[in-house]
Amino acid sequence: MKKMEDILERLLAETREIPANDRVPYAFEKRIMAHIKEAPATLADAWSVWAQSLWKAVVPCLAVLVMVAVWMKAPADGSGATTPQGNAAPAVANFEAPGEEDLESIVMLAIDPDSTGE
Amino acid sequence: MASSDINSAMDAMGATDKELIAEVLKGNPESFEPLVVKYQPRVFAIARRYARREDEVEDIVQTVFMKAYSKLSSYRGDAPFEHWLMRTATFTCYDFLRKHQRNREWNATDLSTEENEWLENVGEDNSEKEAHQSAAKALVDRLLEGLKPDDRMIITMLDLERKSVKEIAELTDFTESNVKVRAHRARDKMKKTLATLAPEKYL
Repeated sequence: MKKMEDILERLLAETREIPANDRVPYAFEKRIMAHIKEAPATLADAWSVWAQSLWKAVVPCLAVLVMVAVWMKAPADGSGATTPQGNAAPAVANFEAPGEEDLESIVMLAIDPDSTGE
Repeated sequence: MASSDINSAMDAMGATDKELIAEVLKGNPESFEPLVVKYQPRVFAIARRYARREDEVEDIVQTVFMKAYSKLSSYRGDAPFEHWLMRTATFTCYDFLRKHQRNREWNATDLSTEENEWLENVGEDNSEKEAHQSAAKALVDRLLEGLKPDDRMIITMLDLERKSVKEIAELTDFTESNVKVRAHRARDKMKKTLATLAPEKYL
């Protein structure tokens, strides 16, 4: 292993002798400066994109808000959800307890509307 | 006076790094350019120790200066700007090594003819010195590729750039004893790898 240590030392010593390559590509500093000058603009762009997306989100958010409000309100209206038309609800509310014959006619009416009227 | 005029005027007067930094922090980014011009050869030399391809080297250097510019307000001025910038370069190179970690295991059949010749003729004077040195460098690169990024960084600074343990500790945030331990461990690993590459006559 001592031999390996010597070889490693020689390898490192020869590599050290190679002068460091500090060559700079032509006008590289201009490239850096161009990136630096772009950076604040990119930051400003990011803010404007963020603001635009916030404004775009306003309408969908309001729509969702209205839909949720309507949904929350709906159960409080009682039978409103089951009636085909909103104005039919009061008629049901004023409906008097049907007798046995009336109940039969109501059920039949639901099954076969043409069979009523006797 | 336009900012480019201020920049060239300061450059002509040989403005110090601190003056240029103060100008940049006042909102004159053009004053950063003389700093880039002054230090880019050193940063290129460092980057070329860790990256082989020239496009990778350029990306590293660009990242170093972009980081330096964006964090310039954190430079307190108690140490020379060059030290602060070299620390940024060191950490950027470390990030690069971590992202491109190869940890390749080599064997004798992977070596080029020149590398084999170097190992065959260790200790002999060679007339083609340049080719001999490039073969040595290629072998060292192979050995370094087998190391962990932080160990590779320490060996590069210690054995190739001839930095002191104290300097390396300052640049890397390792303790001095940690630098020594890592260097010892890394050399052992390099010797083991070398044993698998070297001709049998050395074993």
